[in-house]
Order: sequence, then C-alpha cells, then structure tokens
Amino acid sequence: MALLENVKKLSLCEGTSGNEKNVRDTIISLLPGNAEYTVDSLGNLLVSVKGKQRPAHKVMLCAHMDEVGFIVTYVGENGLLRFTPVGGISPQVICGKRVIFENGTVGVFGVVPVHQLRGDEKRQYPDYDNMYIDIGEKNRAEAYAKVKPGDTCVFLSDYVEFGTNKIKGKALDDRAGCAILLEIANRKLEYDTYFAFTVQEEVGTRGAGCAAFNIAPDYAVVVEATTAADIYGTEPDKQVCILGNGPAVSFMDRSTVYNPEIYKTAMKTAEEKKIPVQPKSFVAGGNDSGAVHKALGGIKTLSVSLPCRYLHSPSCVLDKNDIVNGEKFVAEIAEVFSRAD
Amino acid sequence: MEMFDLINKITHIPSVSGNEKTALPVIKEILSPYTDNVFCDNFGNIKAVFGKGGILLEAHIDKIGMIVTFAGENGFIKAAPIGSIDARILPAGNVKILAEKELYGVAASVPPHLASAEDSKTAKEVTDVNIDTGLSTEEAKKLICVGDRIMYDEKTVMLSEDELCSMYLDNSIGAAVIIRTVEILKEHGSLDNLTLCFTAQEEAGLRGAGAAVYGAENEKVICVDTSFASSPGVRPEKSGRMGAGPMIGFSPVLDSEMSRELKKLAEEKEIPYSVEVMGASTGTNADVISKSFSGFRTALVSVPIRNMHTPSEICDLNDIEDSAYLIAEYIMKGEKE
Repeated sequence: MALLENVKKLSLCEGTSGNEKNVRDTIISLLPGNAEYTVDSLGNLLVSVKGKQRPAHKVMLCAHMDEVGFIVTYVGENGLLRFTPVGGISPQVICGKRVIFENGTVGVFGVVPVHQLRGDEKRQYPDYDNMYIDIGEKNRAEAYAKVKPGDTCVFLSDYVEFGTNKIKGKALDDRAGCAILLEIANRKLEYDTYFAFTVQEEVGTRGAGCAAFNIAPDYAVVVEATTAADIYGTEPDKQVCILGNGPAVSFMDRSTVYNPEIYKTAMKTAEEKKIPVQPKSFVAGGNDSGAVHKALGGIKTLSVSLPCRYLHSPSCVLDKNDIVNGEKFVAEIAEVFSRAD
Repeated sequence: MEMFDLINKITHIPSVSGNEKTALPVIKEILSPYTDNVFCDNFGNIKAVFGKGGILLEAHIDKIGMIVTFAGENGFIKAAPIGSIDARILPAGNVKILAEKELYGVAASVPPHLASAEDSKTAKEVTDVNIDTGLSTEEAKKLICVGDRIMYDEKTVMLSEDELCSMYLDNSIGAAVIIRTVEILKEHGSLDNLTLCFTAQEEAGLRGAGAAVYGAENEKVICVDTSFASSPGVRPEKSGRMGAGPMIGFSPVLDSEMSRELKKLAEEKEIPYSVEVMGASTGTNADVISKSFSGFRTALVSVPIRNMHTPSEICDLNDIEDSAYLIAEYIMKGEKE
C-alpha cells in the first residue's frame, strides 16, 4: 500500500527543524499530478488539491516535516564533535547510539566505558555538555573535511517491520502524519482540500502559524504522532493511548484546549463510520494545533494523533492498523468539516 | 578474508555466553582452508589444533547479552543481563531475541510525561527495562520462551578509512586477530604447531578458561582481548591510543619475560605498540589460564576500543593487523630458536 511505503520512504529522509528541504522535495515528488503548491518564506509546503466541488468551509490538513536531531557546535582538536539537540531529546536515548549526516558521515555518541566507572556512576547519563559525537577521525583537520559547525544530523535507524503489525523507525513523528496527508491528497477528493506540510514544529510549532495564515482555513486537522505509554507496568490511567486502538483524538493538551463541539463531532463521525479511534487520555505534549488554533481570528482545530511508543528516539514504534485507520478517519472528518452545517 | 568481512561475520554470531556452540560452524568454515581439526570441548570452548604443542592462542568467543526471565502482556518481556551490559545504552536500543526464530525487539525508554528528573539522569537497572517485541500476548507466548537469549542488534560500518564501528568488537577482534595470525603464518610457511582456543563464558566470569587449557601441551599462551582506547573521560594511564598498535600487557600475573620479548620484537620489526600496565588481575582469561593446573606462561595482547560493551564499539583496523603480525612474528621467532 502506498501509504505504508511512503511512511518508510519519509522515515528514512533526513530533515531536522529548519533544514527540511530533503523531506519537502520527497513529498513534492509524491504529490498527485493535479496538486498545486507553493513554498512559503519559512519553508512550509502549502498544497491545494481540487475535489469534485468547492467546500462550504475551507479545510486544511497539517503535518510537520521536521524531526528531532542534533546540530554540531564545535569540531575539537581530537576530531570529536560537540553538539546540541534540535528539539526535545531525552538523555536516555543518546548513549552509544549512532547518527548520520547529510553527506553520509556516520557518528557515534561515545561514552566512558562502564568498567571505568564506579557504583552509581555506571548508570548516569552524561549531560549534553559533556557528550561528543565520534566520526572516526583523529584530528580536527580530518574531521573538518567531513563535518562543520552548523551541520545537522539525525538518528541512524533502519525502518523495521516486526511483531504483530508493528513498525519501528526514526522520525515517525511526524513522517507518518505526512504520509497520511499524501495518501489523502492522492484520493479522488469530494471537496477542494488544503494540505500544509509544516516546518520547525519540534522547536516550538514555529511554521504552523505562518502556514495557517497563508492558507487561512476555517477548519484545520493536525495529523501527528503522540506518546503511547502502553508499556507493561504503566497504570492504565497514565497510558495516554494504546497501539492498535486507532488514532487518538485530543480534547486537550498543553498547548490547546480543543473546541468541545469539534471533538464531539470527531468522535461521533468515527462511530458512524465504524473507524476505531480512541481519546488521548492524558493532558500532555503539544503540537502544531497550538499555533494553528490561535491564528488569524481563530481556526476550528482538531488534533488526530497516531499512538507512538518511544517518541523522539531512534526507535519510534507504531501499529500499521492505526496508520491505516488514521488515514481513513482524517479523510472522513475533512469531508464532514468541508460540508455546510 | 577481508578484515571488515571477518569482523562482521563474527559479531553477528549469536554466541551470547553459554551459547558458544553457535560459533562452531562459523569458525570451522573460516578455518577450513587451514585445518579440519576444529571441535568443541565438554564446556563449550572451541578449539583448533595444528600439529602438537607450540603456542596456544586464546580469544573468548562469547558475547554479553541478556536472558529472558519473564514474559508480560502485549509482547513485553523482562530480561537479566549476562555479563556487564551498559544500562545507559538500552533505552530505544535495538535488540535481537534469540528465540527459535530470531525476533526484533526495542528496549523501552520512559515516556516524557512519566519521566521524573531522576529518569533523565539515571538509567534503569537492566532487569527493570521492558523489552518490546511488538507481539500480541498470544503470539509472544507461542514464539518466546523464558531462558531465550537476547543480543544487541546493530550493523558493522566503517566510520572513516581506518576506524570501524560495530557491536561486539569485544571480543570479535580477539577472534579475528588469532585467525589472521594463522593466515600470516600460513603465508610464511610457518603454520606448524599451534593451538587456537575460542573460549566460552568469559563475560560471565572467566568461566571457560580453565577447561580450555585442560590437558593442553602448550608451554606458552597468548590471550587476545580488547582493552580501553583513550577518549574523553578515560584516564591516559588506563587506556591505549587507537591506531597506535596492540597494547602489550605487563602485570604481576603475566609472564614478564614474554611481555618483554613481545615489546622488543615490536620495536625490532617496527610494529607500533603501547604497554598496558596492570597491578594484578588483567580482567581477562589470562588471569585464570596462567594459574590453571600446573600453570602456563601467559602473555596478553589487547586491541584498544572505544565504548566497550555498547552496541557501537569503535576500533582502528590497523591495530588488528599489527596485533596479528606481532603474534605471528613472535611465533616464528620462537620456532627458529
């Protein structure tokens, strides 16, 4: 199915916040022939696709192109790189992991070996200030030929299908969302629909507000990935959402109090169309809705998120069925919002 | 065989401590141009014998890993470490579950809304980490057994012209060195009397080393393992530089004459080297072998690596080649005398 193939293709693209070109170019190559698009000043990709009829309300679907990653701040005398994370990455998921730069250079987050640490030190994550990326060069000159300050890198992570209907990859937040938008754009749409592939979400939902201003929709559906804590031992009331139970619809998160009527309409539509969805049952995180719902004179916004384990790590895990149901659901709700009341 | 391919082959053998027999067919195949005499002893150590007597070269073939202790709901399992797993590298890391069929798994990280300040500073104990197989409860029951082993799952890559990054360089490098030594001796027409021991369960506590030399008719033993490469936070006196050749061990438990001979030979043959000085135990099979049965004159040659016991260890391939050459020269010199 093109949807899942595109999830894989986009997962393997490299594009940290502010550096989304490769992702944008790949998405452009996957747009339908009848799509019209522009790229705005920040790099948001704004797409319109004609449907059979003009909508009563203008609907914009959003997904962000950028992923969390790292930016090089300094190349040391010893050939080792200093860096800063781009976006929120927990120190839990750094030690011993590998990264890749645009030019194919591979690096490793080096550690002091456990054998040379004592007691509790053995389990302490180093601070970012004390970490380095090792690209296998022994001095500054040789390292500098491959990587310079300002260069960005992402987790080096294969795309893996495993378990029962699961996938693992980096950047599924939010390349899976982008793949859903692409799938919908390639449908025979009932209504003219607008798609915003936004930039810089991970560094403060910075692109989405401008995208919303430029498109000026009445309704927006933000298609995202959100943290699933359905891990063994987590209390049910803290699990947020569960893999396999369908896309998660938010009523509130840290950046948006969603319009209750919009939320109810969404849940009702899912029930009528027999598409499994679940509420996001914890107030946590934020996404492009935060910028979009406050744009212009206000935009009626819905957030639909794919449950994602190990968010912001090299090993995001999603359930394929959630992605398929996510696409079905977003396509349905976009039509509902497009129609006259 | 190209060193990259040799290392890659050995790192992928699922020989987590106790499971070393999985290495037998691989070692047999690699050594087949040189000998058919490759076998497993009662403990699980793998031996290859050329002629009678001569030097015994030892490298442990087992790997650190984990062992499944508990199968929870929804495909989550718990495991105990075998050897010193670095707990810091687990979250969001790739693992391979060595069930009847090899299965992919991810070690869980603590989700942001549940992570305390402590979770961002301190890694969980290995036994507290959930391993996510992505399987349904029913599928997991069918496919995975308590007692199945787990290993790291990462690719072998060249970072640069000289430096290679891989899981399990400890101790695929040791095995590669002694295999390369055999190749070099053969090239020089000097492959006569030699024993190779690919020992079992070193990581579990140097468990196989004694049995490995039981009944051995070799007077001298050279153990080959990995040691610490200098890097930020690692003390210079406790490490060797990558690219500066093998680290020749000096320690009260090692044969000082052999250590000095190796050093002198390296200088003579212009093979780069450094010395690794230890106060007593070396932390390798040399500690056990030297005092086994009636005792063996034992030397230790180590290749420096970074990030030991993580899935992304790093070495300089030149150090592997130089180590093999040093040992081969030592053997050839010994035969002349």
